[in-house]
Amino acid sequence: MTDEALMAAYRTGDAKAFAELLSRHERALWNFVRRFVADGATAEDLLQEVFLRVVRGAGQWQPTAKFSTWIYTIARNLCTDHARRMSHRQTTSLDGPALPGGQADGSGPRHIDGVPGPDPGGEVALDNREMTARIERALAALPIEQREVFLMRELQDMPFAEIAVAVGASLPTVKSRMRYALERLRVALEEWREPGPSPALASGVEQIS
Amino acid sequence: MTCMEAAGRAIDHLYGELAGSERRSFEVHLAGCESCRREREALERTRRSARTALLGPLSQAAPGRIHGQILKDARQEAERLRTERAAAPPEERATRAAAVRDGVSAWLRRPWFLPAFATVSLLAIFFIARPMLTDGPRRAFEQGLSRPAPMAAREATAPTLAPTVGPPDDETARPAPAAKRAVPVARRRKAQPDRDIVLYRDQAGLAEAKAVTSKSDSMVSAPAPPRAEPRGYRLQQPEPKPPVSAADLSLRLPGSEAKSGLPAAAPPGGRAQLQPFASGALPVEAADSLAPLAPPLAPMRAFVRAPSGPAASAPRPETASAVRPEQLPAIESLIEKADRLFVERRWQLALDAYRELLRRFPIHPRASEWRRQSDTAIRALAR
Repeated sequence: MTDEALMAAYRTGDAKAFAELLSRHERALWNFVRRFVADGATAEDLLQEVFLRVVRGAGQWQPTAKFSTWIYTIARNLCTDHARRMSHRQTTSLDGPALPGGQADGSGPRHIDGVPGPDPGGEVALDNREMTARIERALAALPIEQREVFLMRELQDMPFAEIAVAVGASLPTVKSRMRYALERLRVALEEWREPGPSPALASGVEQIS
Repeated sequence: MTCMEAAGRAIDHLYGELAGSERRSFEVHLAGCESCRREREALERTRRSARTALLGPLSQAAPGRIHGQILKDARQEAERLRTERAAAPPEERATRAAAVRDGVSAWLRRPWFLPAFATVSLLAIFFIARPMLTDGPRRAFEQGLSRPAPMAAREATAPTLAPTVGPPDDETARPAPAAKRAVPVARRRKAQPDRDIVLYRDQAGLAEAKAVTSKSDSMVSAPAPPRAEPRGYRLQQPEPKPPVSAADLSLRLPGSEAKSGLPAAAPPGGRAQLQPFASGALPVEAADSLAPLAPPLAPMRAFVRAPSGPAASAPRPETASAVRPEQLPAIESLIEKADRLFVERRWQLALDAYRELLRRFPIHPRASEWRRQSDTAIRALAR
């Protein structure tokens, strides 16, 4: 059943249809929101607000509109508003020291270390963790416009045309934002891998030669 | 595709938003361009890492606390929607029906509605009927309704080298060359301009056409009419009537009319027949090079005219290089094959395929690309 059909069912009063919609989009939206809001409690409030708006807007929702485009439009509007408000204030960075008076060079415990997540264990996990931290940092450093495009594409697999509708920009603009975002992440990852040749690169060299 | 164009499409390709010929030409470019290939691979790696970070086991589920809260809100709202619906359905439905009625009559009352409706209807009728109008004569022709007089009848009056395919009808209106005037020509079939197509014009075609002409000259001992060199061929669809073979024509040289009534040898099945355009030239079987194209080409004719001959009113090969729409899939599949070979780096086969394409369609919009890719293949083979 498509999102749109579920939404239409919810409009007739079918609460189960909404539960299904929530389970489909909750995780991706949470991951989306979290990358605009450093503070966990605020992020939770924002996610709840997104779904609350969907619930209240169900009556006005037109079946011609794509559900994912609609909900991400709501989410990005809430997130960018919040991020702009916050940009004028002091914010807590995930990479900041977790303890008051902790080392500024990052050697002490950081907020991001306290972020819960299932631990697959072993060296791979450590590697993944490091890479994830790298990517998170690079993402956080991206301008909001590039970040939102990148996240919609990767978290939700939204086509560029839909992203263009959601963020209110032209298709070429969206694509070039995507490109910039990828380029920056690439630079961040390459710096990290600099010490030794990465396995992917090494195998690529083998293939070529 | 240039490196700059490829760079502009890399993102689309990475996310599967490049389709059809664009995707193909992107991949072809990548196969031949090392730096673009590396660039694309780096993007792919970055994307993979980012996805692992965002969606992998370390990505986070939404906190359960708000899940329950959201569901509670949703249930309340669902309840409200249900009661609202139950409270006012018949009334609502009635007003909706009334709204539709009002909408329709409002449209009908608009001053522009009727003229606009009439115009749209006429256009629709025209577009539906057009294929029937234009296809009518063609179908009739294919069924033999407008075929020329039987060969025997024609030869009774024309013991000559009259071509089986006559020049276009306008030739009779122009002063004919002296040699031609001496030869009474029976009914000539009209050219079918809408069936004709200039398929290609290239050096190979010119050379072969010259060969055809000189062959004709050597075989014809009668005073040759002044004629210009044909520049190519007219490809003719095999007709139900017995086509004229070279052997038959030799029987029809002046002084041998007696044998002209003999049935001509049957052509190789389905093979297109090449017939030089200028009157007096001899029909020759289609060049073997065109045989592989025969199935798609069979329903059409390619022709090239004499440059300054009396018959110069049909589409000139220099300007008319269009390929009929139904040809496109065949050409497309050839191009696709060549591109695929190129992408798979089967250089020799790809090179052959591109050369073949260049030989057949030298003025195709993608010809320069084919040349570039041939060069790449040659370089790869040299390594």
